[in-house]
Amino acid sequence: MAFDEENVKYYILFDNYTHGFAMQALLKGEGIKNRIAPAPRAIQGDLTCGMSLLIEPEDLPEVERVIQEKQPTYHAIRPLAGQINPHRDKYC
Amino acid sequence: MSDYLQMWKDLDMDIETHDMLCQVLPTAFGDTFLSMENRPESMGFYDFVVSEIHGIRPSEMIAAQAEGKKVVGTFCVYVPDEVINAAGALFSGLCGGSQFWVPGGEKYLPKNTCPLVKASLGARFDRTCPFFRLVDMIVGETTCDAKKKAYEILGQDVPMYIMDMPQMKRDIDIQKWADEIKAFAAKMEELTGNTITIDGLNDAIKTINNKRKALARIYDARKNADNIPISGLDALLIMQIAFFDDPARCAEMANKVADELEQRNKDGVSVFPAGTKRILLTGTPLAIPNWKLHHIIETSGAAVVCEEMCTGTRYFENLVDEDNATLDDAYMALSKRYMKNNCSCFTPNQGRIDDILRMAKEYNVDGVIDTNLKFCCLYDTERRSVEEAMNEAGIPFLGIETDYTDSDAEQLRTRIEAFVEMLG
Amino acid sequence: MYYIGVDIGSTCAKTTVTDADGKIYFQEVCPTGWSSVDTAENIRKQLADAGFDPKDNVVVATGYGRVAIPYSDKTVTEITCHCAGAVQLFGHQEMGVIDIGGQDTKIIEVEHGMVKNFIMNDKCSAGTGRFLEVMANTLSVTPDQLTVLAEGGSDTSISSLCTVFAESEVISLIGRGEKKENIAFAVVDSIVRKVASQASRMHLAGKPVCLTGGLCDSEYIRKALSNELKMDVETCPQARYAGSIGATVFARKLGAKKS
Repeated sequence: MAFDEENVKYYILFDNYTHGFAMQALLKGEGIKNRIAPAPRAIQGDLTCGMSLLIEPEDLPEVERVIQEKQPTYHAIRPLAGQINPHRDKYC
Repeated sequence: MSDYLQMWKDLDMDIETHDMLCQVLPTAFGDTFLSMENRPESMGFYDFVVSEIHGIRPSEMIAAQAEGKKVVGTFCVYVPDEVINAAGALFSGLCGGSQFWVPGGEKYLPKNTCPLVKASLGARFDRTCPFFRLVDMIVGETTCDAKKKAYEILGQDVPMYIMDMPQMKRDIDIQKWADEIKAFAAKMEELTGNTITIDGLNDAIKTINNKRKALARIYDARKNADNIPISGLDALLIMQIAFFDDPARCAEMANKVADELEQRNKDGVSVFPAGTKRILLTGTPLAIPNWKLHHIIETSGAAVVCEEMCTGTRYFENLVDEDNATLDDAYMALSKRYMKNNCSCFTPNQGRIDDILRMAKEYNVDGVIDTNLKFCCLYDTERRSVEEAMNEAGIPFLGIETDYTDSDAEQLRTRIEAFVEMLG
Repeated sequence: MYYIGVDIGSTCAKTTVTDADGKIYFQEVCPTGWSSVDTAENIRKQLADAGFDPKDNVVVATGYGRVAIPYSDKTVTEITCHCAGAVQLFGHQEMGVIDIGGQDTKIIEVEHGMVKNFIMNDKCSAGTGRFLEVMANTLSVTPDQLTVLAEGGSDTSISSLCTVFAESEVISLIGRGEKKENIAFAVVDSIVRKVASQASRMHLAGKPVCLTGGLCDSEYIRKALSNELKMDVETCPQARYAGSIGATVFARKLGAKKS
């Protein structure tokens, strides 16, 4: 698999979506860009919660600052490269 | 809570095989949806539903079953959700839209069956879709030959009820469909142990009408000739999820999207650059998670602004009369609305041609792409009439036949890009 | 400034270089091989050696490998390019263009020098160069030899349109001791009938029909196609470059916009 270093995104993973929505509200309140994304299987581990929050690399320090400050519940933050490629033409 | 593993085990699902589907879905969703910029914020709800696609709604349905409610699976936009709702049951569209389920279906069906039918059987028999596992009954209908015969096979594994669909639109056919709806209502009463009252049915009609109105608002916003407030792919996802979501919540969420799209039209916020070619996509349904064609079109310099499909206008156009005096009146009102739908299983089917011509104008389209699922002989045959009508009206037309596999993506790209180049 | 059209097809890659007036300075065809990326790089070197370095000129890429050409300024589909190339080559503003390519066959209806409508064969190699190649292989001849052989054959047919099944039919014919000429005839006949049946769905009546693509060198195919379509199909040796010639048309348009 090609490792596309320029296309790294960060995913915040959760044990359940209630935590996910709480985090989303928190980030939104702080004006930090984030999007709900199905948690990529490669980083999901044994979690069955499919919800993750997708963060751009440049926003990561801000996210970490907010987490430090407000201590929301989450499972982990994981980087993943090459996950979004509109020309892959692999559907499901 | 999100511990779905136990739920899937309780549904006797094939956990290992199901996990393979869970692996490909997030990537496919990332490539198609998350690669788009400037999506409406209200799409967050739908992104969330996809992220928990086999978790959240099935768990709601199972909770309802624990309270004694029934869940009914359906395959067609002619089956009246109002009746299911009025009997106090939940409904869920079941059409399979993934290649993942096709080989499973091919164990039971001839290979030259349409992928939607094959995938639907595969999802049930391979035990890899919770919706297919949890339903108490499946309602089929006699729209196409492939489905009719497939229902016989499905019926060996799950309780089936079949509605006999007329194939013409004379007055006797509308009466016949009203009678079928009445018989279905009796079946629903038997299944649920509840009595359908006229007030209950009128209420259910209002509920489903509200959902239709909300979805229609989204489509109305897509008619704007100067602005494309939402991608076709996002609009398609809303439609796909509408088939299994709770109808009141569906209306609420769709109205939120519509509010945002109307504001975007006022502010001139578009998801495509000015001059992007506007496409009306017509033909066979695109069941979840079939996102291939929209994605290819929308990464080839065009935008889908309307779907003349079951997963599109056929799902919400036309309302049912809400204030019916008797149940028989209500069944007739339902029949009248549903019989306005123009599926290619009807003959003759001039109504569909008229729909396409009208939508081409209403949605200010530059061209029409007609798609049919491989081996759907009804839509395939009807293409000739559609193409002739488009030629006559001077509307550029491209016909496409495809299935759920990835293998023709390159060829589709060439064809669609060439079509967009042709539009100038 | 030169204007370069690169057409990477499934079988062959074609390159054409023109000046601002469309005068051709360079033309080359090479097998695509298994990697479009490598082919694109080889073409770049060839162009640079010949004094038309892509980085100093305008490049438009077309064909299946169009996305694999990193030095292209723009990509245009082969349908649009074949139309533009045929307009240049044959000088008709209204015509039908039949391009028999390696893995697909396109029929293009041209109006006012632009694509009015087109069809391509579906996921199937019936009626394409690939079909011819497979059958030539089975007969242990080259595709060119096959079309020459076909001229001396008659009265044999292959009923199956599927390449895999048709190959079995050819093997049965060989087993039966059928003359090679007759089998070759049946192969070409099958392609021509398939192409003609596709063409019959387009509105080509009364318009000239021109053949582009790799089979344009075969006079026999041109004649067989003319017979089947009941109209005189035109072609010329340059027509195999129609895609890349068309791409230079768009390169010149792009160049004019840039400067």
